[in-house]
Amino acid sequence: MSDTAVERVSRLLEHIAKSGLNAYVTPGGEAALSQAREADRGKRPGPLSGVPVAVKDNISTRGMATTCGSRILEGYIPPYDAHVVQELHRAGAVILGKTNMDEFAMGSSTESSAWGPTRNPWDHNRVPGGSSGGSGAAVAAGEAPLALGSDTGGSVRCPASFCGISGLKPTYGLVSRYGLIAYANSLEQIGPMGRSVGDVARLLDVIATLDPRDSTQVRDTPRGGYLASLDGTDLRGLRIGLPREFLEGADPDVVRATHDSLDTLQQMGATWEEVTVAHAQYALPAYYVIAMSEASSNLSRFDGLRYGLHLPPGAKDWSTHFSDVRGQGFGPEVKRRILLGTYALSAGYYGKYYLKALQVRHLIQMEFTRLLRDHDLLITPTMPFPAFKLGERIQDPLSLYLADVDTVAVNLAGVPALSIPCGFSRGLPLGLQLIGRPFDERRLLQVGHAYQQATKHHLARPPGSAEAGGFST
Amino acid sequence: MGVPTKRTIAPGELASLARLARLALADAEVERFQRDLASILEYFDQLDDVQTDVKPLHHASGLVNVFREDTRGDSLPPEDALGNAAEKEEGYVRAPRIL
Repeated sequence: MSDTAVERVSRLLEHIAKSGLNAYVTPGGEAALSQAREADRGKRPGPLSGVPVAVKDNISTRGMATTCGSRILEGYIPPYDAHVVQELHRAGAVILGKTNMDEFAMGSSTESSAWGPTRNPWDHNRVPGGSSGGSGAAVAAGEAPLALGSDTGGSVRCPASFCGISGLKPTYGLVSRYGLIAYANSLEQIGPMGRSVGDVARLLDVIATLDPRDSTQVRDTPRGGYLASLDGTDLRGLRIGLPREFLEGADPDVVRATHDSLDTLQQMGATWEEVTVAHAQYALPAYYVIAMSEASSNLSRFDGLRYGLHLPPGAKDWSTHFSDVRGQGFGPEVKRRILLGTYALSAGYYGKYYLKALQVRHLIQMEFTRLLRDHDLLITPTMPFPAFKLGERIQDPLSLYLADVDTVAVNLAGVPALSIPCGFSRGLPLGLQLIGRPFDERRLLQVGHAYQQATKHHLARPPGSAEAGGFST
Repeated sequence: MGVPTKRTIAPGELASLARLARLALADAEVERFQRDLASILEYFDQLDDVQTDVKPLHHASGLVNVFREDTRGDSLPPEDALGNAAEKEEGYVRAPRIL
């Protein structure tokens, strides 16, 4: 990199200010420039010294507004950094800004943001995917070299697929969730996004560190060395499973791109065979029951008293006042999920919905464990179709939920999954999903990196891209 | 898929959910959510078809009761913790009356 961090960051901030994508809710402004100046003066050393990183707006950044794409958190300035943000600072990175998202990460299109939708850089009339759509669009359009997203049921992988970039959902318990504003805490992980698998590995090395503040983090597993483990294109001995249920109902171009990718991996020495996930069709309803139930509990903390949207209470009592604040502060999809979660947890329905969904989760985890004993990884499409049009699905919530059919089982099982670009359909990027054993991120990244040495899909850029600088592994 | 049961959500049922969840709903929302909830719950009902003779799995990693030493550490200064509250008094947040 020949230019200074200040030059790079100013150029990006100027580009973001003029961009029509709406990828950022809060660009980093003076704070980002001052971090860049520190880096240029050698006062921010580290593996990401002076490298701009975009951060999803549900990850707490001290002193920088964090809204979760919701009016109920309008104006909220966190008094502390999330663990992953502390690690970015420690690695010398520049926090370039906060990226747009579906409200409280509930969606697959970034259309439910209170701050308006983000547009797909490949076609501005289409969605970037979601819920980390701002991070996906920013990386694809060169408005950030690296970004953090969060993935509860596909929210890193879906925008990675729709925007033509690489993104990882780590194993549940690898990355600290301290400072990630909770939606469905038994399912979600913060994940790295970048143009190449190398960039994803580089960012994972920085964020996947131990943090005593997250009691759900698994301690006794090796962390780090992800970038260093990427070498070679020899996949001899690699055994891949292709769950047939994940291809049923997919767009023919998606099926073709998946098979083309398997051919490529086979030429590099891997073998593959079709496998069955018997409970695949039940993953989606089980996922939504669990996610909504947890959301109805997690989101009960938003009362407009301690932070966020404030209404003068007047003479109203406690419950009426809170109901008014929440009625005005939450958008329709958040309300829908809180209501459904409340229903699923209420007396009389708890066993039928919530407990049943937890049992189905167990069955799905058992199936993944068995399949990943005989196979080193599973391969599926990330999304069953390319990016859809803005407004096409948002009025029909169930049709939007069905878009997550290939991603949610991974979160139920808690296993890691990587999405990488694997081709195009009518000018729109397609994604390939690599699913691995718990804490076997190294293998996923190795195979993804090997694939990117043999193919060029990840190098394609949408029209009008900026030059984000950073890395080009 | 099980036998389709044409589900409905009665206005009273939605009102009681909204009360439990502390959500004030506009009239247009009531109509909308009655329809949406019914169709989504109908979709969820396919879970009835699964033979589930396993224990519920609350989270994937299997961790239980993670403890740490009970030691003193740094915490947020009160002025930072209250920095986002609109109405505060003597280190407290002012809230509406409860009774």
